[in-house]
Formats: sequence, C-alpha cells, structure tokens
Amino acid sequence: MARGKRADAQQFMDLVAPLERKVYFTCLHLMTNREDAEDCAQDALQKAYERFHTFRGDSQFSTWLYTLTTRVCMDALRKRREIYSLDLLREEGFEVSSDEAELYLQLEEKDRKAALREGIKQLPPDFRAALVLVDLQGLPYQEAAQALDVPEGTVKSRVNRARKALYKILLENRELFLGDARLNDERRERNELS
Amino acid sequence: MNCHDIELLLDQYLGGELIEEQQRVVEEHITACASCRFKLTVLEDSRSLDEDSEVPASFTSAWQQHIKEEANPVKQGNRALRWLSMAAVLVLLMGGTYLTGQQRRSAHLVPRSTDQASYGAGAQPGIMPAMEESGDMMMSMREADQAPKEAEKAAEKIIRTVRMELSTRTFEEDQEAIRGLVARYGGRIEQSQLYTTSGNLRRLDLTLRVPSKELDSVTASLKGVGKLVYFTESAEDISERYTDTQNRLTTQQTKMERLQELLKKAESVEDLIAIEGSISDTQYELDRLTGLLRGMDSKVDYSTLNLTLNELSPIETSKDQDETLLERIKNGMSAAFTEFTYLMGDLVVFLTVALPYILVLIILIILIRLVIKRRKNK
Repeated sequence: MARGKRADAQQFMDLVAPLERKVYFTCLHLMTNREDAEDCAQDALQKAYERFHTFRGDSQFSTWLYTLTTRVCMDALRKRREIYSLDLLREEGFEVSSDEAELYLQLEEKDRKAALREGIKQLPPDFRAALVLVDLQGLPYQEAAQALDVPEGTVKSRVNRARKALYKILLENRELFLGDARLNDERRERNELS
Repeated sequence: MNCHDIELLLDQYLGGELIEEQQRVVEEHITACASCRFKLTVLEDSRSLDEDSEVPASFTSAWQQHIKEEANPVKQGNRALRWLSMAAVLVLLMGGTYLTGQQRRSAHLVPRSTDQASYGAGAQPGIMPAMEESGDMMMSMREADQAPKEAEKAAEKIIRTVRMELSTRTFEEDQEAIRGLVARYGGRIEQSQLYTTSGNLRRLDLTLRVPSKELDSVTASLKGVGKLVYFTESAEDISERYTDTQNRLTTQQTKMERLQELLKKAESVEDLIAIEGSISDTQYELDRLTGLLRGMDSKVDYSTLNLTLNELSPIETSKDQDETLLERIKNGMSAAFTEFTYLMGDLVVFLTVALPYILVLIILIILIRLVIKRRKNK
C-alpha cells in the first residue's frame, strides 16, 4: 500500500515535470501577481496529486492538469472580486490602424513583451483565461473549452474579443507601456551599476 | 483576401498548418499590411511570452517536497501509530477509571467485614487484603502522628463534632452494625429516633458520643456502612474559654477560703448572716463553674456524632410500576448523573495516582523518539 503510494508519487512527479512551466505561467498570467500565482500553482499541484488516482488515461494528462489549474485560479479570482471595465470589450468597431501598428512594430521584442504582459493583466478574468490558454499556452480550442468548462464556441468568441481588446490596449497605451518598459530598463541598469 | 480573412488564418499560419498556397498568400499580405503584421507579432509574442522566463527554483522544490511528504510511508505509518497510541491512551484511561471505581466500590465493603471480624483479619479475596493492609498502615501511621500531639492536646481543649448521613438498602443489618461499632469503640448512643417516611422507608437519627481518640476510626468504619451521602466535621477550640473558667474557679475557691476564715472570726449576728449569704452565693458560683468545666471535659473527651441512616427502596424494579415515565426519566438521569460524577471522580483519582507513572512514561517516550531521530539522521 505504502509502496504503491510512493510509486504513484514518483509517477506523478515524472508526469508533472514537463508541465510544471505551463502550470506555473498559466497561474502567473491568470493571477497577475507572483504570490497568488505560486499559491494557486501549489494548490493545483497538490489537488492534482490528491486526485491522481481519479485520473484515467482517457484524457491527456496535460488537459487534466490544465483543467485543475484553471479551476483553482478561477476560484481564487472569484474570491478576489476585482472589478474590470468591460468597456474594452464592448467596442466592436475597433480597427487596427496601420500607422499605430507600424509604431508598435518598431519596438524591441523585450519592450513588446513587457507591454503584452501588462496588457493581459487588464483583461477581465474570463477573457484573460481564454486568451492565456489558447494564445499563450497554445491549447487547442477544444481543450481550452474543457479546462474552462464552457462550450468551444464560447472560448472562440472570448479569445477573439480578448485579442481585440488587447490590440486596443497595446496600441492606445503604447507610450505608457513604453515608458514603463524604459523605466524598468533604467532601474535595472542602475541596480546593475550600483 | 482582405485583412479579416487573413486574421482567421493567422492561428493556422503560426501552427504551420496551412497549405503552401495559403501560406504564401498570408506572407505576402503581411509584408504589405502593417495591421496584420501587428496582429501576427502580438500572437507570436504571446506564444513565446514566457520563453525566457524561468520557474523559480523555490516553487519547484516546494511542490516536490510537498508531494514527497504526502507520499512518505513513514508519515503514513506515523498516522496509524498516532491513532493506535490515541486508542491506547483511551483504553488506559477507561481501564484505570474503571479499576479506580472498582476500588471505590469495594472500599465500601471493607469496613463491613470488620463488623464481623477483627480489623485486618477479614478474609476478603483478591485485592482486598492488600487494601486493608494499606488501610491498617495508614491507620497506624496516623496514630503514630497523633502520639506526640497527644501531650499538647492535654492543654488543648477541642470539641469535635461530626455529622454524617448514610443511605442503605439493608437497613436492619446496618443499624446493628452501627450499634456494634459504637459499642466496640467504647462510645454510647445518647439519642435514637426512628421515623417512617412517606415511601414506607425508615430513617434512623442517632446522636452518638464517641471517645475523641476513636472518632476517626469510628467515622472511617461508618463510611463503609451503607453509602455515604453527607459528611461534615467541625472542631471547636475551647482552650481559652476553659482556662478562663478554670481561673474564675480558682478565684472563687480563694474567696471561699477567705469567707470561711471570716466566718470563724465573726462576732455579731449581722456579720454571720452577711457572711453566710456570701458563702452560699460563692458556693453556687463554684458549683456552676465546676459543672461547666465538667461539661466541657465531657464534650472534649467524647465527640458528638450525629448520624442519620436512610433506608433506600430495596429493589429498583419494585418502584418502576408506580413511576410515571417522566419520573423514570428523571430518576434515570439523576442516577446517570451520580454515576457520571463518580466516574469523573474516579478518573481524577486515577490520574492523580498514576501521575508519577505517566510522567516516567512520557520521559521514556521522549527519549526513545530522540534516539530514533538521531539514528535516522545518521
């Protein structure tokens, strides 16, 4: 019995090892801060281990783990009761203007990614979750739907709207993020110097 | 193809799922269209957003540690061991309490056997002889304690009064036992009143006078007759009052002597009459004081023991027919409560008695754990 459990633990850790990154970063983007993210990721892995015996090979382990992780995060986010402006998502008619796009594309990759991280944080949780699972983690819509426990169509529409909102945030606040990114760079340099 | 069509293909383009033809179209469009290039860049950036970031090592070790702990068979064993030891402690407590109760119950019987035979020679089976022996030991120790105090007590005048109430199912037998006991210790029954109560049960009120030296032995023996319901003991120190009275007596005696001398010298009839009047007054005072002292001495030498013996209905079931359900519940509950208080008492007694053993056991366990830990660390 005890030996069986130990074997289970080893098997579990072997299965989780390649997915650890995904669990961690999913939590990080969903929870938007490191403390909450680590708590949720811990919680999710713990729950996964407790329920490991209920995992049957009929679904992929990664999907199973994503589902658990997403649920833990969404529960935690619901408890947080943050208020997000839905205005972003209401504006249907937003189109990417090529001038702004050009300006954005001139940014360095590092700055673009910093802007992207900030931009994702501004999205409401449901939309952020869909975008993180599909665009960041590269999950197929069907698996993301399973993890989020919503129909596939809903995931698709959420991802689309989340992308639109993200484009808008990125372009309209480009200078703001740029400022942030530059400031961060300067801070980093100063730290390195001192 | 317009921007909207291209946008729909971007996912597949990134996934490399497009056929060559479509892929070329997308690439051509992207080179020309900044908005679509922007969208593709955002998607590409999204996919590789965390590529350069590392999972904190502290996180990895934390969750792995947790899983290992959870799966650790030693801990599992510990859990079982914990339950087992908890069960053992429970059994120990229950057993100890039961045994203490057993001793309490049998302790009631011990003095009854002394009614039939001399002390300590009672042929009780099992643990009883041992118990009686210890009882004897305690008794003799108490006597030894008292011996030196006896000298001081000659000057100390203390009136001890005991009031106790017993209840019994064997009323007649116990009544005889009490009378025999009192006679054996050289006491006497000063007053005896027998009543019949409403439930056709008897009640005996006794006022006993027992030699003070024997009071403790008598009450100890009496506690074994029937069930002790109530017990109080009071000790009144009248030494001061006694000395005062003695002093006053001496004064009066001196006065008497002087008056008698005066009487002899008296010459006139008036003087004689006056002196004789004084003498009779003094004699009265002398008698009164002597009586007081004697009374005090008697109270000091013979303690008063007010004893009430209540008869209990012989068998519970005979009562049941007359009792209403509510009464039965009430009686049952009060009986249960009494039992419970006894049980709690037994538990406290057991814990107190077993305290040294428990302490030794705890120290042993700690030591064993330390040894095990040290061995494990090696």
